[in-house]
Amino acid sequence: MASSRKTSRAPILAADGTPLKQALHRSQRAERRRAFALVAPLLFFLLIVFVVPILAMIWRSVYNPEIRGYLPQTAAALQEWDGEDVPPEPVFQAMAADMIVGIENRTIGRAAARINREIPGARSTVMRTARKVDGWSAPYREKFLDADGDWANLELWHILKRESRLLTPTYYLLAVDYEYNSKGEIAPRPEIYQVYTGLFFRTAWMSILITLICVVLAYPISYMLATQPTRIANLLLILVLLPFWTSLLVRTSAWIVLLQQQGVINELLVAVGVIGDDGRLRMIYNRTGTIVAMTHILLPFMVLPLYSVMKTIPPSYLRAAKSLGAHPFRAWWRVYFPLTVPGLAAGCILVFILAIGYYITPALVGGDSGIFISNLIAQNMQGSSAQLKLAAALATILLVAVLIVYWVFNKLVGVDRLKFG
Amino acid sequence: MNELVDEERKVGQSSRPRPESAPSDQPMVLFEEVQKSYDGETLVVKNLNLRLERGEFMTMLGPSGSGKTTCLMMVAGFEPATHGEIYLDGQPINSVPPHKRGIGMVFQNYALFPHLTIAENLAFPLEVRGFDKAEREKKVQRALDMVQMGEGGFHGRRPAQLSGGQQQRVALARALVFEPELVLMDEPLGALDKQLREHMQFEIKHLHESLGVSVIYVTHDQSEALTMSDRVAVFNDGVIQQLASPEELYEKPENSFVAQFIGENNTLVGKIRSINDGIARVLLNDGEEVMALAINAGPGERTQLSIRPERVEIDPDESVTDHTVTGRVEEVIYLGDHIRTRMTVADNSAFVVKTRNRLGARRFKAGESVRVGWATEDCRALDHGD
Repeated sequence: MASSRKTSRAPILAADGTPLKQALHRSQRAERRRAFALVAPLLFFLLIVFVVPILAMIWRSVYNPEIRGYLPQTAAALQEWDGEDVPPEPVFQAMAADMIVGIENRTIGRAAARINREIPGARSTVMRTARKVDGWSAPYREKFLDADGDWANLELWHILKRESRLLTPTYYLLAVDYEYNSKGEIAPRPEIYQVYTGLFFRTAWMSILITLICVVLAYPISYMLATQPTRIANLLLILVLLPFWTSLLVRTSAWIVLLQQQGVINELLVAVGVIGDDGRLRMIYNRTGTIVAMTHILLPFMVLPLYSVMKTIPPSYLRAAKSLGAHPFRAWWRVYFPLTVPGLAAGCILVFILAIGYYITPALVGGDSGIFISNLIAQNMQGSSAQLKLAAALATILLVAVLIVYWVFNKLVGVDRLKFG
Repeated sequence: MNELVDEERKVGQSSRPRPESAPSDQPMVLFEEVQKSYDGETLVVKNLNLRLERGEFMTMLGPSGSGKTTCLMMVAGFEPATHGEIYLDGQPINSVPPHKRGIGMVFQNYALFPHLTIAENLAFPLEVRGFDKAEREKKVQRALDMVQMGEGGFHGRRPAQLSGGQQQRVALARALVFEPELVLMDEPLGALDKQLREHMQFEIKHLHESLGVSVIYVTHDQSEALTMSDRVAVFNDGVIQQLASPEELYEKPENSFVAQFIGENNTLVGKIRSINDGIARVLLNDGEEVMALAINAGPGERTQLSIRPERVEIDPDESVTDHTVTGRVEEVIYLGDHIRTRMTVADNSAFVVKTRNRLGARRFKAGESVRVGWATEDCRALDHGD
């Protein structure tokens, strides 16, 4: 007793007198280095293709360098402005100096385009004035106002001042259907432009619905897989995994063939006489199409974790519960179901997270009512009307939403309990 | 089976009060011409007739695949009988689902619910029977006390935090906590080490005696069967080979399978020349003639003689044995309390003689030729076996 208390106070020493912990640490150093060397390539790869792009995207969604970069003196001068009236002479002087530099460096066009995005038509005001400004001399204020009446527009100056900040929430406001109004206050966008919030909610509830359908379909299948003899179970498992062997595009196209108005199912229903020729069902290019096709594609992700968990539950548990007097349903609910929760939760989070960011299937079969937020993110990244920063903001919101879901899930179920297969 | 048993009854009291209406003269379990087939081609259980009396401890013993576990599963209700009827307390139960049979069962790997604590595991059968919380706690405590697990803070632990022996006790307590009249045990001690297994054998035996429950116990371990049972049913090939008390099974095996399966046995092969008053004269392979009790082989038939190793005498006194045969010592093994001498007798080189290690007992050497003998009653002429 006495000796053990003594050793617990003083550090135990190795044979050469160094503390045992230190000796252990040293003896395992080579081991640790080797372990790190093994994971280093993957760590490096992930850093380059995963962490860095995501951080860049988040940065891009708030980074707003144009006004500050192309009109630096104006941006500085505007800090003093009270916003009550047309800015005083120093601001115009700074603007003139910026314009001269801008013309020289051929950057004035970019500044004009940036302002034009906030106030349509402002580009011509800026460009026209910029071409003249070289010949002017102080005082500039009157000459600016004479050259174009828009320079008297307070809104233009408010926007210039607001957008001269290096970081801006503008794109996040847009992403949730808000904007700065003419007074510089945050206000909802006109109703016809409000698309993103609705789409976020639609994406969320459709993903939840798809997850639930997957649960309902996968649970009995997995149970059957887990309880059949291995030979039959393997065959069934191949059938479940078959979708993985064909391209996503092919599978989605197959659904188009089946579900379209001149498609297999409609033709069959008309032929049998269930529906009339004019009453053909619309099952694709809408929500139904998205839900059907995505459920099919995501089902294996639910089956696999469920199956792997169910396989480890001995049939004797259910038998024991029954022998103790529990009705088969109660035995299932109190004994079998709780043991499948780790697999069920893993399947749910897998399917939900995959669904919420799904792009290709909604794009192909979703029509207007069945597209997801990722389709609009993609839209904002392509073509002439590309708004990469808005796309970045939307994607960041999606990422945060997924992280929140994951966090809540962790609180409810515990990620360390999940079994993915 | 939901009958409430008198609350005041103390654990350890031997007589179990029964509901007034229960007919006490009915056997606990009755198999009537039960057959079982899984594939429709072969019978796993062939025409089984068996009667388990109230309060009896019966063991089904046999090699794997002999049908013993199948019989147990049919009583529990997890396997339907292909033909025939099983009665529980006089009632046919073929169409009664398992959860309505009210039979306690201990599974091979305990089948304790891993997500529930020990107390919750034990309360499970009480919960489904609608006992209120206070009553559940009382019964759970009593059941845990019964298996010496009432103290030590086991209530809140999960099964995985217990040792194998402790899990075994909990499984036993769970099968008994709702006070069933019949308890089935499917090789419950198979996963324990030898010492713990022997200890638990006695505990189960004592629980059976103090509670007065009827038990059907399945095992492939013959020493376990002999230690614990009132009667043992030896299974082979879907048929009960012999149903008897452990003593009778060992002393008076009725066929060569039982003689081989239970205990250590010396086998001599021969042919019956004649039977007189139940005594057979048997001609052994090497031409010697011995006498044996005729059990299930007739005149002119080939026979296996069964003699237990401890009933054989070396260089016997003529008054003890009826005749002697020649044997050649092959090997002498010293085992402390006794000495095993392996010798060749009538072409059988695995003939073993056990002798008590007494002072002054003569030690033989390999290669020595000796006379061995036994009493006629200890030598049983059984079927040839093949």
